[in-house]
Order: sequence, then C-alpha cells, then structure tokens
Amino acid sequence: MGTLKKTFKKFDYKKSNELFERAVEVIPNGIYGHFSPAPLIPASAYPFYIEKAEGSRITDVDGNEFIDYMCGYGPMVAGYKNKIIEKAVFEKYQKVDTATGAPEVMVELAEELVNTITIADWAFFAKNGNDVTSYALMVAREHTQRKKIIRLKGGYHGVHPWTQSPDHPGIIFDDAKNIIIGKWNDIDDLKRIIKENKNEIAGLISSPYHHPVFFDNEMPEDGYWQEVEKICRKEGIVLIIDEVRTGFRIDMRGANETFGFKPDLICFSKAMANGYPISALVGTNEIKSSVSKIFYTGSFWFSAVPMVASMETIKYLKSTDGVQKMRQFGKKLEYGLVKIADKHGYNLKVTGHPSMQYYRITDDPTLKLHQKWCAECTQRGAYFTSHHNWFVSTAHNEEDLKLTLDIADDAFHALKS
Amino acid sequence: MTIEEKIKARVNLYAVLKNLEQLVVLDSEIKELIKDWDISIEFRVKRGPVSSVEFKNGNCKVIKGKLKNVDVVFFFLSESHLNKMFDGNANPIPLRGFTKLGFLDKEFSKVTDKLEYYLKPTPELLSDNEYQRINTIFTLTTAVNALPVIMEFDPKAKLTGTHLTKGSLFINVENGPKAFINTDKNFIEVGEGNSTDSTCEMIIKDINIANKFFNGGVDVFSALAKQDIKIEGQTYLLDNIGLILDRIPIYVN
Repeated sequence: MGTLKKTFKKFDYKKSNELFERAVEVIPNGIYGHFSPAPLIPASAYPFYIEKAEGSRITDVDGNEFIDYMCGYGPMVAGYKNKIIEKAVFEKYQKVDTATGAPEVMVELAEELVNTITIADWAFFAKNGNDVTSYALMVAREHTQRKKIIRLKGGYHGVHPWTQSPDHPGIIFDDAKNIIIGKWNDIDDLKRIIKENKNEIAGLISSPYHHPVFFDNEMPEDGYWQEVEKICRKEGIVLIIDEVRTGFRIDMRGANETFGFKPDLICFSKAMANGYPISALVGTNEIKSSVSKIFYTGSFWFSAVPMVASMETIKYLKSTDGVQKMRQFGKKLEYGLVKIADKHGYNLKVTGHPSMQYYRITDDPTLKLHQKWCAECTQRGAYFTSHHNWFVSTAHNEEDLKLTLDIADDAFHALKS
Repeated sequence: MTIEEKIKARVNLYAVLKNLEQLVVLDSEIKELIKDWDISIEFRVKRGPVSSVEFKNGNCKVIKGKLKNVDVVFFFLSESHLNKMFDGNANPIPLRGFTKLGFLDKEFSKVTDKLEYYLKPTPELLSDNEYQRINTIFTLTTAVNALPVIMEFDPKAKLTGTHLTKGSLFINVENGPKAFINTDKNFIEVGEGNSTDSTCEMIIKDINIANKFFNGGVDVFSALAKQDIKIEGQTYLLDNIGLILDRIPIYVN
C-alpha cells in the first residue's frame, strides 16, 4: 500500500520584502555579510527578517515558521529560548551585565572551559570569532617572535583584512604580506612552505576539518593532523585551531580530541553561549606568558550575561550529551534525505560532521538543481541553504525530522513539475 | 608607462572599439553610411597593442592584432598617445593609406563620433528607449571585452585570475543583449550571444534594470532581493568575475 503524498503551501514573504526595501535606503546592502540575500538562491525563496525563535524553529515577520537548519549560522546549539539557559541569563540580567569591572562568572566560565577542553590551561574572552582568531595570530607572533602565518585555502577565519584575499574591496596587498596560503590535507605543501620560510612561520591556523562554502567538506586524512602537529613542534610553529564553527558540536573536549592531536591554541565562539555574544581563545601554559603581554580588549568583552549563557550552555550540552544527540539527529536526517532523494532519482551527497553537514545534489554539478531543491524546501518550512553547511541542535527532534522529510519529498516532486 | 595607461589603451582597442561591430547594425544612419565601405584600419602602438577594424559588405569586424594587406595604419608612439586620441586630444600618425586620409577624416570620424555618443549617456539621452537599448548593449560589450585586459594587467585582478576555476558565466538580459564569459585559472574568454553550457547565470529582468546595473545605478543586493537580478549556479564564479568587473571604472571613464 502506498503512502499519501503530503503537499505544502509555499510561503510568501511580503513583509520581509517591504522591510528590505526600507533597509536598503538606510543600511548598506540592506542586510550585509552572511545574512545578505546574495548567497540565498533565489533570494525570493528566503525570508530576510525573523520575528521570533523557539526550540528548533524560527518564525519570520510574515508569520511563516521554519525548522531552522542554519541555527543562526551556528550560534544556536541547545534550542532557541532554552529554558534552563534563559533562566540563568534572566537572573544574571537582573543583577548585572556590563559594568565597571569584571564579573564573578568570568572566573567560573574560564574554570569551566579549562575543565572541559583538554588542552586549555587558560581562557580569554571576547565577542566574535574574529576577535579571537586575530588575537591568536598576535599571540603566535609574540610567542615565536616571527611574523608569518599559514592559513589554508578555502578556510574561513572571519573578515578582518588578514583573513581576506587582497583582491577584495577594502583589502590591500600589505594586509596579506605575511599570510601564506597552504592547502588542506597536503603535508607536502606544508613542508614546502616551511622550507621556503625557514624560521619565519609564527603560526598555522586551520579549522579541524575542511568546511568551505559551495564545496564538499573534507575530513582530515589518516595521520594528517598528527603529522602537522609533529612538524609544528619541530619547527616551533604555534598550532591554532579555529573551532568557531565546529566548537561544542563535534567534541566537548575540542575537536582535536576526535582527530587525535593537540593544538596550542583553540578559538571558540558561535555555539559556546547558545546565541549570546561571546568568544574565547583557550591555550596551553607554555604560551600563557605571551598572551599576558598583549594588550587586547573591547568595551563589551566583560559582559556578564553572555558568560552566564556560555556557562549554562556548556553545562547543558554536557549533562544532556548534546554532541551525541546532535550527531544522532544529523545521521537520521542524512539517512532520510538521501533515501528520499534516491526515490526521486537524485544523488544527494553528504559531507562533514553529522551535526553540521554539507548537502549537495550531485546530478547537476552547476549546483542549479541543488539550489532549486533547497529553495523549494525553504519555501515549505525547512530552512536549507545551498552554499553552506547546515547546523542541527539538541532541540531538533523526531517531529522536526518527520516534517522535514515530508517537505523534502514534496520539494523533490516540485523539481519535476 | 603606467599600468593605468597600459590598461586603458588595451581597453580602448579591444573593448571600446569592439562596439563598432554592433554600431553598424544597430544605428541606421551608420548602417547606411558604411554599406559600401571596403576598408581596413590598423591601430598600432609602438611596442604595444594592435587592433584592426575592417568594414566590408556592410559589416564591421574588429580583431585583436593585425590583418593582412591592411589599407590604413594609424601609429601611436605610446599607450598614452593612443589614449589621448580616444579622449579627442591627439591625432594618430598615419603610416599607410595616405590617399584615404581625407575619407577617414570626414567619414570614419562620423562613425567614431556616433560610437562616443552611445558610450557617453546623459539622463536625457537614456530616457529614449532605443538609445538606452544601444547604450546597454555597448556597455555590456565594453565590460566583458575589458575583462581579459584587466585580469592581465591590474594587480588585484591578476590575483583574482589565480582564483578562477573552470566554468562559464552567462549574462542574460531578458529581451536584451546576452554575453558569456568562460573561465579557468588565469583564463578568461568572452563572447556575445547565448550560452548553452553555462555553470552560472545572471538573469537581468529587462533593459532598464540592465542599463542601471551596468552603469552602477542599481543597488545589487536590493536588485537580488527584488529578483530584478537573479543569479544561479556556481555563483562563486560570479563573485570572482565581479571583482574584476569592479576594477573597470578605474580605467574607463
């Protein structure tokens, strides 16, 4: 006996579009950066403005509800408006947030991170991921008294000039003067760079696995990180892992534990406070004195509320085995979507860690078919981007899964109509 | 010689002059004027770029490089000299075709004057639909043909060239001009007309939007949001080509 095909009404974004038209008059690009309409293809399939968020769902200003598979591009990890986290946040908010002096919770959070992340002997707090990736470079340079940094092609470490290619607007060649671009999973290339820049490399920064946009994600090859670590130790290069995207989604101890190596510094942000603005650089005692020498601060870096949110998020993820929960949901999502795609005659390729996978329909290498499918899904209530890895949270549940699979099925039907 | 002069000269020769091919088709006065012409003209810069224009059987062909048995050679001492000529502030040195100089001065200048007319829009001129259409076609032709030049000489665009991958961008103005840009690492090849194997598409709603977009009068993000401009496929290709296109106004007025 066959099952009835469920059909969904496609969403309309009238109010979102009206707001955007107002926005372009007073805000450059209307919405800039990673939330801009540019990578949403077609932009007409996506909402631009969100009214509320709860659990795994977001509701836009037009009242359309979506199962959110971007989780704010990573920050949401334990469900929007998670009651336990919000309770602690509210209590702290009533007492203090930004004031003259550091909050007590700063010490507690640093202790929590040191107790959680295996390589961490200390923690330093800021606001955004890029605050700490840039700080990590300064630390590496101070520690080694060298100037050059290796970053890998396709890696993302923020938007500060050193992270961008000098052919981009606002960036000059001098910004990249001491940045060397290496290749992911390529030990020979790393050895070549080091040989050509003997005793000049201060640090190597990389995500724990390769998660570029538009392209399949790549895990480290067997022995890759062990060899990189060995080379860095031998050459006196500070090994920096950028876990801004992966942090607290792969391994609470640090993704390096999953992949079997020990970096000197790790950068965290996004998921560490379930949406509250905070980032952290953690590192080993060998480097601590170099960190202490550098003056680095910001007006809001001592705010208590995000620190409480981070404390509670980390405790929540630990107590609920959140990483495992997200992994299991990601695997189920993968299984279900791949099966539905196959039923419709499409090959849906899935790469990356189960909690933040990159999906791509391989039948059309131009990505047009994949973009159409993601758009059809989004317009039915499963928010899928086509260019970026998705994210799941501990709030994504069986009901979300079933609805998502029904939406995906209907969207595949729509591709053929 | 500055990089700016080098680039400007090549853009003039390979991109601006290229519009002559369409001018003789789109403008009825020029079409009538050149219908019986049988003449070829070479623009040669000393130790620099060369471009040739041939009028024959009512058509015009503009090629990069030399033609065999060319009728007239216009020589320029430098890229700067050529650029001044294009700006109307210098004359070329005729090396061949002295007997045709009178004709060129009188008749060919009508063609170049008309080309300039279409390439220098004013709000009043653009209010005329036919003018706007031709200006849009010429602006697109100039932009895409300038791409390889910019990539070869502009330091930033040169770097962007190293990031290019194998692909094909199709620029499709609905009910208007179309162009394609084939790419690979350090490689750009452009053409006009439809593309059947594009990996990335930019579809512009109509001539009016296209004209504003090509002349920098459209907020791109707003246009994308409103779907006045749609993009699909390997849009990272468009990101890179966009970086090179953004460099053109530095060299072209």
